[in-house]
Amino acid sequence: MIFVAFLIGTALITAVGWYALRAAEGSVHVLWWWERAAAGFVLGSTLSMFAVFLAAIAGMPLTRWTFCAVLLGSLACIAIPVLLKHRMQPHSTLPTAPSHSLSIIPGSLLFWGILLLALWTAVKVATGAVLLTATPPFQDDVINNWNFRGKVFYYAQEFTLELQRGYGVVESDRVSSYPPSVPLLKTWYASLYGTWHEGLVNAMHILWYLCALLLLFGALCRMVGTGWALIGAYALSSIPLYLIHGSVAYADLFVSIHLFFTLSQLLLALRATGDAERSAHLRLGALALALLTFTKNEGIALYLPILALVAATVFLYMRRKGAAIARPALWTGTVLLIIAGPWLLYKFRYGLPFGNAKAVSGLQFAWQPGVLRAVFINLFFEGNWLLFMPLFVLLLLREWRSAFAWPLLPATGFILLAFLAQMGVFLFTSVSVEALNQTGVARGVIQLLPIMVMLAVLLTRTWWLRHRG
Amino acid sequence: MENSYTGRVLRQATVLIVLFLIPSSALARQDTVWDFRDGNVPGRWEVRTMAPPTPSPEGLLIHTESAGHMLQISNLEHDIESVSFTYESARALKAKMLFRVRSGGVSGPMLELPFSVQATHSGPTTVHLDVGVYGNWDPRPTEIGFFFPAGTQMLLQEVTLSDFNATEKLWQGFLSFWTYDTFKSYTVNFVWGPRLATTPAQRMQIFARTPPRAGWGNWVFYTLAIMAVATIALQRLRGRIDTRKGATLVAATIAALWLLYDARMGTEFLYYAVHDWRTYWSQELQQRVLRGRGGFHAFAEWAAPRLREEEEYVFLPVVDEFAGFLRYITYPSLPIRPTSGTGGHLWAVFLRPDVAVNQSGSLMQNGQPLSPPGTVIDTWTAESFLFQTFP
Repeated sequence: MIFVAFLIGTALITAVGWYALRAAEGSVHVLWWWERAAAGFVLGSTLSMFAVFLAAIAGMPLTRWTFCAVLLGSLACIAIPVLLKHRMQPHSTLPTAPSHSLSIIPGSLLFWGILLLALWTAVKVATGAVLLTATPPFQDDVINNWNFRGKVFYYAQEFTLELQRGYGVVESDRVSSYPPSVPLLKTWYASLYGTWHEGLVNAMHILWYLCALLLLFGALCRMVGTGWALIGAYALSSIPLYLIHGSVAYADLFVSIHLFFTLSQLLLALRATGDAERSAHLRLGALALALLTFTKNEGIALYLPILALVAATVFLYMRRKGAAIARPALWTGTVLLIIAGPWLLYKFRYGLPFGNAKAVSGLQFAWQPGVLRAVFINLFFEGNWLLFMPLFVLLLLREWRSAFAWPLLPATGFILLAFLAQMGVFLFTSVSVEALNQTGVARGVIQLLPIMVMLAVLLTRTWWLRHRG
Repeated sequence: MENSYTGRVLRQATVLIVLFLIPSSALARQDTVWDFRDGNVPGRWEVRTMAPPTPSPEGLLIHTESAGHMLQISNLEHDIESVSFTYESARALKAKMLFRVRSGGVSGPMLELPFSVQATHSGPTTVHLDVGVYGNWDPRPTEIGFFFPAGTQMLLQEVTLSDFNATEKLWQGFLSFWTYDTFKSYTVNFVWGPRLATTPAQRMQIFARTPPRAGWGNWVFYTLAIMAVATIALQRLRGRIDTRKGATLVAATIAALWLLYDARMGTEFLYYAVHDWRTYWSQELQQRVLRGRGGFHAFAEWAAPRLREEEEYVFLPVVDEFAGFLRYITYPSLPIRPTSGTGGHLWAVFLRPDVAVNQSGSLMQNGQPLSPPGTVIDTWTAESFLFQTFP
């Protein structure tokens, strides 16, 4: 029964996401079906829970029937127009296979190498799934934030900012300031099943991890072919801390997928050859960007301004090249307004801060000693990232002409701006304690990692092709 | 031409490595063993302020009502990089190793290395001291000895003072590279990765300290990568290989190092599950231990169904950290303070030897009453139980 509840719960939110993506694609289908399924599950989670949030603050109780009604209603509102439009105006372009696909001959060394690595990855993912679903809640943020809020919503059957922490302590601003998408997802699964079950409400995290690998593979496949896409997917899957985040009930990996989808669609839009295809990618990216604001506070406080700058730069570049960008830009603004608007209004209405469980407005600025060393150790000496960080830096330096030129400039620019912004917070504010204690640095890098891996693969390919002739 | 050159380079490298290892292996690992069994007492010991130890066939009996120490002048002909003790003890205690460091070539101050002695119930046990953890450790102390607290009842069987050669240290480094950490609270924020120890004692205790006292394993990768890339670049500059082949060799090197590192960290990840299986999933509820939190999670699993029957309960944990976890597990039932006065009837006590039920049926802490009269309704262990006050 628990498996059935998980399947139904996942299928419904994936369907919402699927048709939302189809609506964004329009008449040109630029995603493969498995990409749309993976992105649909992740983005559909955020979109579904945004709809539930709106219903909840309008006064509807958080019961199984409300969840089902809202999700089915959302699905109907999104899917029906899409299906009608599809009937009246069939889709035109299918994503073509890249010209340099990898041919894998069964029985060859390459075949066995890929199979071995795939099995190795599968074993690690299965282990992560067991650790995630079969052990008691172990991390602070699980019992104090993500799962705790979901449990509060489940038992209260209402959306509430007030969290009873026991010992007479009632909190209503710290972790309640976070967007409720992840906790509501857990409430959804528990409501569907009929009881709170740790394994059930946590299982989605490992699914997100798999979706991240799939989406990275898909984007690279389209850009540079199957072989490089396999390298990228393996690279991301082998990074220890990213796998660990797929095996614990945290939300940074969730944020990373939203960020990745936004950026990858921007890059694909830059590579598109026609206005219809370009507009489809831009609308998809805009949808992910809007939903990013409903994931964690840094979605709005940190990433939205940077992504807005990057997107604006991309739009201006496209216009200079003669592309039609007015309607995609309008779509971007509209979707942002529809999703970020109500959440921002709610935050202002109830005075919820924008920091990471701490208000940013009260931070004082001064140089924080020891942070640079702590960050350096985290990136280059601990086992978090294997050898990725030194390789990434070397690639940026070695292939700077490609990294800082179109079409990779948006990705490079975003990574550097986001990283510098994070470092600025650690180097100049009291949040430095998160860096010194090694509790905050890696979270920010986790969120950027799929984009970094994508960029690293693209730069590696540039280097490889130049040296191999 | 190219293949014979490569073969020549490989042969030269092999010869160099062998020549390097021969002198190193000629200096074998050096151990000085003080065997106290069969009535032996190696060396001349000065005993102060404690009852003199008694030689016996099983070892040196140390039974003292007062704290004291025993010292001897060190005439060792080798450095001390690791110390191990084999002993039996009736009770757990905190002893110290004493050593007098050199200062300007002569005897200097006496320094102390605390270590824990466990109560042994099933035969002798050996503790390994990673002496390098003490920044002021002198590998050639002028005096060596031990401090024992009052009430020591111990049988000291053997003390081994070890010095390791380069080959032994390399071997320990290899073993420590493949020594895994377990899943801890910090694992979601960072993982230490492979570390490099040089002695068995250091290797056994790598992840017992935060940060670990061992070298960074990443230096292995960086060294190998730099050596390989430098060699390839040199061959390219000499025209012995073209750009294409050079790029292939560089990519192959990076790929090999990446795969090695993935194997290292991937197997550590699998070990997290193996460790959880051994200590948690495969054990009966009462024996379950989870990742450094002892039996708390098993206790919580046992107590939660009863606690959820109440709106509120009082929780007396051994550390405050556990309160948040139990609150989450039992939610919507919430813990309250003993002094809250809201009339919580159910009390959960975890690992509190200072809390007990007195003759009038109240919970007491260090002689002070905590609760109204009641009764223990279920027992996890002598120090962990559920207590219900009478209505």
